Amino acid sequence: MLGYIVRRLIALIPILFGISILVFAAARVMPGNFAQVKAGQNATPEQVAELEHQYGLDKPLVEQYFNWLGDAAHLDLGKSLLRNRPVTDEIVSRLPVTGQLLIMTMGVSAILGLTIGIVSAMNFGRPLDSLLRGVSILGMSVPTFWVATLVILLPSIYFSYAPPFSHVGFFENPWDNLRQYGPPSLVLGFASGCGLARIVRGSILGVVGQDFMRTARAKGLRESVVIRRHALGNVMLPIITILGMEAVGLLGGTVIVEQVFNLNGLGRLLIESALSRDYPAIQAMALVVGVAVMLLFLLIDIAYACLDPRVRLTGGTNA
Amino acid sequence: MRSAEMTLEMAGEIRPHHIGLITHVRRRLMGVTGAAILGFLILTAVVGPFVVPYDPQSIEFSAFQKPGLEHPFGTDKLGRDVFTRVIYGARISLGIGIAATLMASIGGTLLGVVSAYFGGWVDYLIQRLVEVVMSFPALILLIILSAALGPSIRNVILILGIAAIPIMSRLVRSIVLSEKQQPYIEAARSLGASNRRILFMHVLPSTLPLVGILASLSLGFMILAEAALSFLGLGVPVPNPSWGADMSGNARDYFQQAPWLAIFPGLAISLTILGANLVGEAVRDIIDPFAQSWGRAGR
Repeated sequence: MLGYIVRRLIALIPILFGISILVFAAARVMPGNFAQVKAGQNATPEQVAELEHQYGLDKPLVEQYFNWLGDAAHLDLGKSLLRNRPVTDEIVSRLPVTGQLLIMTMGVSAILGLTIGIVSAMNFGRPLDSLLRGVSILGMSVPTFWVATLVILLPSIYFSYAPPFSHVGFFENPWDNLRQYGPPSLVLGFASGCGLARIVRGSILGVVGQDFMRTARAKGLRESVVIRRHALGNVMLPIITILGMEAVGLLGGTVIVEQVFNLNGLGRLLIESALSRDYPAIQAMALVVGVAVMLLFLLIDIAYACLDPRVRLTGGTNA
Repeated sequence: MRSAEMTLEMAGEIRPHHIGLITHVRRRLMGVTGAAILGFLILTAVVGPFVVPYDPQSIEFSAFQKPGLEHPFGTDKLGRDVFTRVIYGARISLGIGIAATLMASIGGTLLGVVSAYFGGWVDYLIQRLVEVVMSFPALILLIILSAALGPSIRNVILILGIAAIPIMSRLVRSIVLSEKQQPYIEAARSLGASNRRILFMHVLPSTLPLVGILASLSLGFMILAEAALSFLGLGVPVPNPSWGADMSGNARDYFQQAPWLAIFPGLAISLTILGANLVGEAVRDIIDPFAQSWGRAGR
């Protein structure tokens, strides 16, 4: 098992290399460089040149790239133009917000997705199936930023209700904290749970017609046991992959709900950086997202290797 | 993913008796409802602006009028007619969605054909690049691209198109790879056909049906992505009547006072994407009937 993980980590290196080159190149292709943005529109060429020198932008591209990469390896992702403080600090200080949001959203999404998907599959072809399918298509169609807006707006109009305005840590005041994080994770979790439900339903229906299912029924097992033991057991593995993919997609979804619900997480950092063209910050966040996604994929594969003996047989020799 | 060839074969094999009556009607109903919604929206986008009495940018009315006979969806903080803006918004939303889908289809097809047909290191490089781009969450990729290019209608199309090219190219590549092995390609080659002739006369046409299907499936995503980007202030810039942009920025400060500003553009977006998703669902049912028939066999 350990050997497998180490091999996967080594295989990650060229991919991370590719991501870093792409992110670096993208930042250079952007119109105007850091220095021009920082100096403003009325800057003289000398001022721009001085800033360029300060940021090392006058050096050859290859040298710039390796300097940046070397710094990044030491977790130094450069300085935000907008806030004039290291991007790493900014990211670390916002990590708990996005982290809690992601965990709660994943929970909501998994519970809703599995429940709707299983109930839907068990009632295949009946009205309940059609109803749930309709609900999940609807849930996928309605944009989260609109639902989120209504979730804030309607209670405030009809009940004059407002969630706590400034950030509350979970251990300071769990109730206020949940009032803050509950609605956004429900909104986002519902949307992504609807997508998940469709896949769960499809995967279950995919195994329902197989021989071992008929055998299980022929043995006289109750339908719920057949579904739980035989269908779900086979369906769980692909669903783990899908859950992992959902988590990657949710990295994008959090950007929107953080914006609407006023949560100061990584998503808002990205938006603020993008709106003010804070290139060092954008570049840093792109790298962080790329690395996070790769690690998530790795986690999925490890979970697979742990749960599925077939993967261990082909993937690792001394597992 | 199942090979493209197989999917096509399956599409040819569907016969009504594989499908129960209720499923059949529901499937039709779903697709028909979706198509009706989309058709209505296209009609609105094309004809609507000639029918509505006001101008989407004109600020001649008093601000924050409640929805009523004169202004069915009310007016906004500048006194613009919200109904007119929502109607014009259909043009922007569908226009951008269709343009971006076309761009992604053409770009993705070219990239996929080149990658698969030439193989070797060209294929290797393109595929690694595609993987890196595809690993980014879609919205984050769009935000980063938008930060690089700056918000404008043209750039939104460009951004959405670029972001969707990788997945389109993957599909096309898989079709071309299987098509390359077909005897008729060998026959064409032995008759002395040039690479270019084989590519354009034989390989490219065989990719068209599935590219069309994937394009129709991605329309909903494109429209949703445009609305989300505009909502974040990184898409269609104000004062263009975009549904997403009309709910973004400081417009939000007035929602409490004038909730109709939030409700109608949001309804329009939801309806559009619902239509696109229903059509997509029907299309998927037609090309992937396996889940259905297996499910029936089990009961």
